[in-house]
Amino acid sequence: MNKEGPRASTGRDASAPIDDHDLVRAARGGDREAFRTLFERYHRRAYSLAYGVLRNQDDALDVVQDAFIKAHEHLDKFEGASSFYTWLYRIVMNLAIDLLRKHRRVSPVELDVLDAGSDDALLPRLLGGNPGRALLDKEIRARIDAALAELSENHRTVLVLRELEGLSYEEMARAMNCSKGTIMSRLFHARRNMQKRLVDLLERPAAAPANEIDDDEVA
Amino acid sequence: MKPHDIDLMQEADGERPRAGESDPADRDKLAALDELHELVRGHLEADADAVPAARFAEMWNAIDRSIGAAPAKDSAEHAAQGPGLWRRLSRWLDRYRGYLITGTVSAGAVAALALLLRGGSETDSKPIETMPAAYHPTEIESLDTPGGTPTVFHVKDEDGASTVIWVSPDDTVEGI
Repeated sequence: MNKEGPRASTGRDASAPIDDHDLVRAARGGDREAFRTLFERYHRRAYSLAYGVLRNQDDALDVVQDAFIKAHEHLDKFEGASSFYTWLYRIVMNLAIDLLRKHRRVSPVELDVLDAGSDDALLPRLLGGNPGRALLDKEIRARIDAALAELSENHRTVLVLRELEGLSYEEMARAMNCSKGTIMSRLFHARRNMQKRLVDLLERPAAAPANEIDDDEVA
Repeated sequence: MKPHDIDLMQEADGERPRAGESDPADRDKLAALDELHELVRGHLEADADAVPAARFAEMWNAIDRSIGAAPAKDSAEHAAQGPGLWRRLSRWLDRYRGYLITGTVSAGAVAALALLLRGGSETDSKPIETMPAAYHPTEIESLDTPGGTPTVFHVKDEDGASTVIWVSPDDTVEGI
């Protein structure tokens, strides 16, 4: 999934992937094809992040579009200390979080404290160790989708940042402007809630998932 | 929450060295966290893969226009087919929904009529003029909506202008 091949700018050797930093330099100089190559490389990944947080396709597409426009506008501020994508995902995250705040219709009650007195515990494995195969099952996909949608925005955001982008607790705390303890709490509750909502998948035999979709339906 | 499970979670996330491998119960919980990671990551990536390339081609054209260039030739056809009107319409509806009516049934009515305004379906190969109302306000001579009461809006916002026809079914009570 997300096998976006690097796109070379017009006039360049298409077989040689061009370094992101070189593309940024070229784009700064007005090379639109260079910026397009960056777009081709990262738009789906950025979309995954935005959609994971927002759970709305139009909103996620808008955020990705705005993020690339903003990135282009501020290319001169990209110092190259991190990768282009790290810089981009921060823009995507900020825009997504801003949109959540702007459109927030419900203020969910959340447990954002590490409550050591609670006996809330993680569950053991659900799917017999074959999540890749489980994802071919439409029903399981629908269940994951529903479970993600039912998480509070903060819990979902932290889960997406961790599971999709692999951010550390410290990085997430900075991105979400909260303490590391809050991040740990949100992540724990997010995972625990996901497990609770998927727990009956335990009863499904992992080797032969029902409703398996055809191979040609899997991109 | 159990402090021990928080430790396990930190181990699974690489925030502290793994020490729970020796206990079978801990091992299962660590495996479950790895499993959940794969499920969530795989699911989100599959979501992204499910978006038609045309949507991203249209997005690039919009970006390209915004950064001061003409649309790229190889994806110009997608620009004409894209959901520009839809996006503008849904954005506008999001903004003003509360003032008009509550209830989900009306969204379907709007969608149906908006389809008529677009003058074709998404599967039409003929390019659609995506923003006719922005330049030539739609003139409606008559509107027949059996079983519903139509409301016509000409909406102007920062994106341009749209004509929205909203049909409230007669047998629907607002808010229910």
